[in-house]
Amino acid sequence: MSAYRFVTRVCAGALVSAGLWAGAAQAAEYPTKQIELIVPYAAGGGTDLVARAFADAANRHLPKAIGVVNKTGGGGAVGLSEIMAARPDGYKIGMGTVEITMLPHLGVARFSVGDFTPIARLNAEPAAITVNADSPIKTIDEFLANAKANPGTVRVGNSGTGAIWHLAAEALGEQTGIKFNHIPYDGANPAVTALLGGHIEAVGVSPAEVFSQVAAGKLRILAVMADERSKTFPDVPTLKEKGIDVSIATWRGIVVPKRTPEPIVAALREASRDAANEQSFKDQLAKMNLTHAYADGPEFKAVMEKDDAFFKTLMTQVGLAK
Amino acid sequence: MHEIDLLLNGARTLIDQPMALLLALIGVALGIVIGALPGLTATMGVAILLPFTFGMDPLSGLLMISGVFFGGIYGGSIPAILLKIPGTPAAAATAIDGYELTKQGKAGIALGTATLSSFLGGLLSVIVLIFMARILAGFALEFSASESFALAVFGLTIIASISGASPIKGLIAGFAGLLLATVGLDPMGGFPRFTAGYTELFTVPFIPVMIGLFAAAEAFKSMEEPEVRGALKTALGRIIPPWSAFRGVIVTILRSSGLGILIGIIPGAGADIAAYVAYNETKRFSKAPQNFGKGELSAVAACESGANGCTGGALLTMLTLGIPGDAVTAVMLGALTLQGLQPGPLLFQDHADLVFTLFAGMIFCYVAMLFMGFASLRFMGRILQMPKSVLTPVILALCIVGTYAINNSMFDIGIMLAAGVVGYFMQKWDFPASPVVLALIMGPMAEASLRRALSLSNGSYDFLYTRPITVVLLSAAALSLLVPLLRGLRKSGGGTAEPPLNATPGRGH
Amino acid sequence: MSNAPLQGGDAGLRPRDRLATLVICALVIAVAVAAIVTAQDFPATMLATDVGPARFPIVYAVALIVLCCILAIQTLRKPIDVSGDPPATSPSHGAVAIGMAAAVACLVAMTHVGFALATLPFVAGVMWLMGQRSPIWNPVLAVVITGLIHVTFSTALGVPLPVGSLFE
Repeated sequence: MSAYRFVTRVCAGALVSAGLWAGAAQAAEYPTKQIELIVPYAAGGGTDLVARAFADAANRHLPKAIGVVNKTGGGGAVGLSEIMAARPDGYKIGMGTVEITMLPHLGVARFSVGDFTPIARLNAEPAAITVNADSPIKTIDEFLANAKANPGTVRVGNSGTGAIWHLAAEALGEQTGIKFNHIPYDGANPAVTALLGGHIEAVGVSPAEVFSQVAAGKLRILAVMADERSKTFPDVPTLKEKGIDVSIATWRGIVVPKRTPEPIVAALREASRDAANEQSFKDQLAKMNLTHAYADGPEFKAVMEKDDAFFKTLMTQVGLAK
Repeated sequence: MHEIDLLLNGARTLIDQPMALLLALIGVALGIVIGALPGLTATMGVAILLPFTFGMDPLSGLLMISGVFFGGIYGGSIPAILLKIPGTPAAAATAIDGYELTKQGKAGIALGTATLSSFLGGLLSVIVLIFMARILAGFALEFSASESFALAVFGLTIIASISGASPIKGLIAGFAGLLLATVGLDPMGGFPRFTAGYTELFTVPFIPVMIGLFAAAEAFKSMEEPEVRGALKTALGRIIPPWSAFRGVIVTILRSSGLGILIGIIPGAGADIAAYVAYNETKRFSKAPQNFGKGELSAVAACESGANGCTGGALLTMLTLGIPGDAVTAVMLGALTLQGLQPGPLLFQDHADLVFTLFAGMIFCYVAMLFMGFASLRFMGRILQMPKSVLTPVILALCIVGTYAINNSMFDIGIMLAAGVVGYFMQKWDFPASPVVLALIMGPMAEASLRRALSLSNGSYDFLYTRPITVVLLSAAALSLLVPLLRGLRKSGGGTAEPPLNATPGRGH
Repeated sequence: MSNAPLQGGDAGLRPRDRLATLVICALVIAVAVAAIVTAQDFPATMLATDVGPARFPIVYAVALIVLCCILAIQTLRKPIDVSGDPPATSPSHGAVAIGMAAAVACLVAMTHVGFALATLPFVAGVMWLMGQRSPIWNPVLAVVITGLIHVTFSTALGVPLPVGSLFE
């Protein structure tokens, strides 16, 4: 009996060390073939453009090219599941987004935040409260006072129930005790369109998504939900300044499946750092009005875990969690 | 007029840029190929091309993308007419009468009319875009959830006019499509409906279903009669439609282009909706509505000019308001921003020179499309001479690859094949496939818009009769349903005539 | 669709078509009932004024059931045409079934061995199925077709093709 157990143990030990050895050997030459970068959203969208700009920049720092592959569907769930389930050999990496920390609590995902090893955060956009320029409401204080006086009548557009900008507006409601009428749209663009047409009172999307309208004087940003003011709109106050502790941002960054060997993770982190600090990458983001927000693996991991805990609490409070 | 000067200036600038013109030509050619391949739509074409344009100057990059956009919408009609394989969702409407014409040996004229109608519809839409952008820009903003709901309901009534021989079977197909359209994440609450735990089903796999119902089903059907040489021994015939036939469709083209432009302007409505609406309105104004579905030339003209009319309309909204109305213009918006041009109200002020050079280039793209289309039709027509035993496996292989290309998903291929099997049996017992496709386009829009409108109005149904555009569209929907009914009563079972040689002229407005 | 068996209003129905139509009605009704049963478990949304995720599917399913019943009644009331002219050449349903099975097999194979290796035998096989039995031309054409598709999609358009789990 014990002999049998011994044999099993030896075999297991041999297998593990063989696996480790193979992993190390792999990493020594990594990458030896093209790397696939899975983007869980459609080609041409914001996440896709960040991924493509990153791939361009990273190709200068890796011996093999990165190819972008879009796997869309399920509000990101399809692509993110694919990244989670990929063979952890560093040849299928993914563009992780804030949805990693949200979809699991909605009960529509097979993954959780622990299934991913973060490599580098590339970009982050805060939520903001934006109203039509014709609106009599000029400041965030007026906006909140008005909403408080008329509970349930101020219509705030978002990019879909359970999506990041919906949760941002919900968080604001929770913090201030105000009841908004949340209107889900099929993405941020239709919500902004509805705001332009005067069909809703406000949207909770990021400043980048309303940039051109604000520049043209059609819309007005009242506040951003960030720790610091936006560099593009330095005159817009943060909610923190107004004594409301809500800070919500979407982010995009490179992630790999959790069991990826350490040497490969290290190689990817190094290449990502160099790529993210390329001027061309920064320029590309700036052209799209996106905020460059590089963070290395450990720091990115902290952000992911913090968001995961935050969204879990928030979604339970507002009744979205399953 | 101020715009004419700007446009002439733009044309002059454009002529000095042979590289941009060449890239535009390549873009149009690429677009036609992409549109013609099942599964690859104009949206995908634009997205595929986008990374290549990063390194180009703004004019070249944007013209190339416009070329792919225009060519992609048109290209879908070629396989739709020749093989009943709609390359794009919009071409599913073209296939209804286009393929019947091919079976009658009039493939050439059908293709020629489609090409000419696409060109005219597109050209008119670009002209409207150039001269009336500012006036029409506000129209997009009038459309809120209730208007979208009314448009979707109006669209759904078209099922009545594309049902073919048996209205009840058309209705069953339509409602089956509507039920199918509810698969996926609930538009308001995000609850996964009928997905059996598959994340792939969170969004309805619309294009795989369409490819399956049309193309794969047709391929399976051709296996019924194993024979090596083509059963479709039809020649292409003449391509340029004779004046007598073309005269009959001019009014149709004008009306359909106008509809296409308006629908293009509306956010969330695109070429597919435009093609079906144009089909329906042409049938409504036709003297011989009974010929629709049996090879009516004006139906082909309507679908194609409607679909391409959308291009200018969609661009109008995107450029003037900075709002992308559909997936293609969303990608183009990204392209513009990457080129340092921020679409929106300021674009026409800050970059008027470039914008009007771009407009001149768009006209060039459409003219190029016309010539390339006509030049390639003879070649494309060879497909008809291919032995069926070769054509069938090619079609199936293309269906598989094209479906995979949409999402890089094997799951979608499975859906496509399942739809193909269902489509084969539907065809066998005379259940039309077009109502399913139409329901898949309009169903999600109807449901999401109604529920959103209810949220906006705090639960009141007043929006159904207090908003003018909503009322007009809902009334048109009611008419759409009542008119064929009344006609049916008046006619009471009279036999249908032989399909006409020429198109029946529209009665006008 | 014009060569489908059911045409021309009041002409008689062949018994086979009548049975098929009734079976289709029954199938669709079964699907609709299943949808209604499933929809009962859909939770309400958090939006106060929303009709909920179940409303639309249930309305559609009920409409489907009603329409199918009407069609079934119409079909039953139509006269049966026993003498009806049989089709000149009976379509080969076996070939269609084999073709469908081949397509499914091709899909399964593709997940393992990738696009090219799965498509080659499929294309050659369907040609054989459709009566083209040349032992030389079939493989050659299959290679040419597969190659052309591969070049068009993968090389020219940059659209990735299935690789197959064995080669990943």
